[in-house]
Amino acid sequence: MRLVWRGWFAQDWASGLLETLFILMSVFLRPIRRFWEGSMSVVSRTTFSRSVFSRTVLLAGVSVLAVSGCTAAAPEAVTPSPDAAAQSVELSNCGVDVTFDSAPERVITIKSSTTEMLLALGLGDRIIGTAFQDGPVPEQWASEAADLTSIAERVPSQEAVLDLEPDLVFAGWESTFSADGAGERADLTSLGINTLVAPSACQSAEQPAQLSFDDVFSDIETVASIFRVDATSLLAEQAAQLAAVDANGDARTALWFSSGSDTPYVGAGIGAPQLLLDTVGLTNIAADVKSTWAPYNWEAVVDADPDFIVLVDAAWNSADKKIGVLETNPATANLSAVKAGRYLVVPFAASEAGVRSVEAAQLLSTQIAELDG
Amino acid sequence: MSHDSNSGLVGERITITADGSLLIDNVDCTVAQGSLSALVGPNGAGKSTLLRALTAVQAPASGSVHFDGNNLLGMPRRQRARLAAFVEQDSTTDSSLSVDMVVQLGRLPHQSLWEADSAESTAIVSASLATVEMTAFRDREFQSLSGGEKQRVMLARALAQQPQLLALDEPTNHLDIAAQLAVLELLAHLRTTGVTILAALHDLSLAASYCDHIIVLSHGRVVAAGATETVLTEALIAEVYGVRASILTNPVTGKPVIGFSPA
Amino acid sequence: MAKVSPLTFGAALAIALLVSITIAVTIGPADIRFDEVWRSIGSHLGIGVSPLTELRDGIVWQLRLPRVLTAAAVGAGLALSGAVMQAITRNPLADPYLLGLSSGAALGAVSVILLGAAVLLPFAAFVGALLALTLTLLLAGSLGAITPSRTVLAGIAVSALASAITSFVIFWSVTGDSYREVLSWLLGSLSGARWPAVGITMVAIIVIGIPVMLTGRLLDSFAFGDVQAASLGVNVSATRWGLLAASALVTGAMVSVSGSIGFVGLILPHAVRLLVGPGHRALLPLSALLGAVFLVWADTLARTLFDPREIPVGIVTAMIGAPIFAFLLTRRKSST
Repeated sequence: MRLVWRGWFAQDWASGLLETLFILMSVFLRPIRRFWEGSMSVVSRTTFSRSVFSRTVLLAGVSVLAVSGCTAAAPEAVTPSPDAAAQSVELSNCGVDVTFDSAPERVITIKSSTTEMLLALGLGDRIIGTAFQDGPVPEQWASEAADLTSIAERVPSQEAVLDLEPDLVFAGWESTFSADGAGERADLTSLGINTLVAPSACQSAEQPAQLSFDDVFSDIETVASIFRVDATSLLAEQAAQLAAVDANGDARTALWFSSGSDTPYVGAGIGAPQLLLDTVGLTNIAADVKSTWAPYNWEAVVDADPDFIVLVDAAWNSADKKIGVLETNPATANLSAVKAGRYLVVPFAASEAGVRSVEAAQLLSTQIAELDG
Repeated sequence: MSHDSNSGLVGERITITADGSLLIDNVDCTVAQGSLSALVGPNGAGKSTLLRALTAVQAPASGSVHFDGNNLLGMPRRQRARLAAFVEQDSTTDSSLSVDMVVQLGRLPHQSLWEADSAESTAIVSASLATVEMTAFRDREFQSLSGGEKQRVMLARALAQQPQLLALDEPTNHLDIAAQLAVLELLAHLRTTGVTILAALHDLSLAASYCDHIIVLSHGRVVAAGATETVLTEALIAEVYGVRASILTNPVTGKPVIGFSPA
Repeated sequence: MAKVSPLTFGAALAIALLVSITIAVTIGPADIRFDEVWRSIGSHLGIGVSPLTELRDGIVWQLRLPRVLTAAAVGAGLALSGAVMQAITRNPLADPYLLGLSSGAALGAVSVILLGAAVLLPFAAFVGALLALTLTLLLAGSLGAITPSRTVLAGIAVSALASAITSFVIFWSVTGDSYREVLSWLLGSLSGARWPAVGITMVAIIVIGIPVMLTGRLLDSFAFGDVQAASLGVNVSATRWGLLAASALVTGAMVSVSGSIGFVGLILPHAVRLLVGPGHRALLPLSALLGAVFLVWADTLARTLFDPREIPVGIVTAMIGAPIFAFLLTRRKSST
């Protein structure tokens, strides 16, 4: 449990060292923490491999558990039956077993991806507070989002979370659940507060070996099943939009430039960036790196000289700033994509797996078409 | 108070304070040119402090120090180090310097920072080692030596400075009796080459046996100074050290030996 | 004890450094042949025409060569500072990190990164290093006479304070990814080294490093402590604080381009001492040369070990340095 919070930093292997630093700093607090944890019930940590296949099994498992003894549940039958609302929903989430005896009523969402997931499912009224929002909510949910209260610009403290008396904390990054952040998952559970991480963002366990839209859609289904709502129409809409995305990349190459200046931090081979590039027919130059995002190397970028550069636009690190980085580094200033301005811009919130992934693919395809003019 | 400005080491009105306490209180003292003199006194009397001031290693709060008419406190450091050498009580190092390199340190005041060692310099180092009879040890690591050997090497280092004034702080400290005698024999020999020597000594019998002059320091003040036989009296020892002393004569050397008993 | 003649060792190291730079610049994720790399470099020096496309030429001239040269300069500067500090504090465990210099420099650097004023970076690292040094000395002075051990203890306190403030700054202002830049500062990385970094570090080596290398005899006189150094005619306090300030400047210059790279300043002087003995006239320049060779190869490993990913070079130096340091400690124990 202790290391769950590493999830966010663990996108970067070097985070382990930062963690060591923090652990050293808190060394005096440890005996107290040990005692506290020792007195809590041990949460079993069944781990599921999250291939598409096992995901299907997992979903079946949700149904099986939901309707005790029933073995007839179809894999896709997440749609709750009228009496299912009274049954508990159990699942393993990033290796942590969570149980929802009833649909959550008071939810705190941390990161835009989780807020938008609930808005897309029409669950905006369940949100009692949001935190760490990455940017403005898209037009279609703006009116509902207007009523939301932000409780923290970044990760809220455990007390700020407890103060609102939520029954669920839904986070977009695993690292959010830490003693230094919103609280460790076991601690929150022992206080009667459920925790959930957007399943595709799992790092410590159950990380998808290669993220697919099946994973993205099953995340939506999982959340819908927890809230006992029907995701059928949302999924149908997303599937239709996805089918309409033109794979106009024609196997040209692309760099997914997420952040960094001295060392570029890029979308690598197994996460949302790879999925979106695959979807529009672009070849990721960092596809060989088996990671979601990873620190890369300018020399390898220059060597590959990609046809397009995808820039992630965040409030804290705008696409313009990244263009500046590319143009001031003398080695990258000569890249064909930089010289020709072949940039594809994706909003940060849409670059993480979730309800805006299809939109992100669409955006990429549209921009490729514009550049190809 | 005036002194012949051309006769040996002359310290006048030396006052030294540290952290607000007075260590040396307005001391005047002289060491005759070419003499072997002892600075004695109980622990805490201020012997080391005064020695450092007299060689200008640590400047006193006030007062003056002259050697053969040269103002030791006013002259450039390197020039002063060519005139006066100082050997500390305990020379310890973490470095794995060889004996040869330790003695070479004595050449520092004579060399510029980045010149190769001259043949003359090397010869002086060799001669210094020979004087203290440590030639055979020149490639040994300093730290591997015994206490007496280390003291001789430090003496050779001081000699390599080619000083006219040599001050030593408790050179016999922690040495066995043979080594103590060896060091003092060496000092007596050096004195014959014209070097003025002042040594802080603990052992009054040794001081009485080897030194012509004695300066007695107590509580930061000079309480007696002069020729050994006139200064070292049973009454003075009783007053300064608070013990009963009996001054006897060594049947072999004919020099004074001091026996002690509780007051 | 001298086992190798300093001149022989120095000549061998100088050749090793040239060979290391020559080879290191031809190694990298991009597959460019040895002769192409050097013909490309030659073209920039006005000899012949680059055989490479503009883009691949940029890999060699804008990325690899400045980085390899910076690695050499930073390695030399850190090893030199370490050797000087070990002598002045008479503490075999001393290095630029001991007196809080690196932590101070990193704090200065991290602060301006997060404030977004990257132009001020080298300056801020300088100022951070000097402030940390000043604070260390003030604290040591307030304990009584400034002795080496008090200085070291004060350095540890200042270092802890600077690290805590750095952590606080990171914790408070981290947004999305800036922590990653900060991490590369704390762990030490040469990935951002371009020609300006070569300029800063080379100027520091030439203007401050080389004069410092000429103070070997003075440092030797500190072997038995301040009193003996003073008795040999050395102006102890001027020498000590002058050399400490010079070390702070060199460290600040190096940390400003590379972050805090550990172990270079600590182990390389010890390695040289084992090979040629403790005399500082040989030790200072040889430590600098060995530091340069060491960091060129450590950085080559850092950028190629997990190609095309790269890791901060500080990880590599720690992985290599820690075991070597343990070995040196056991050697030291058996020799004393």
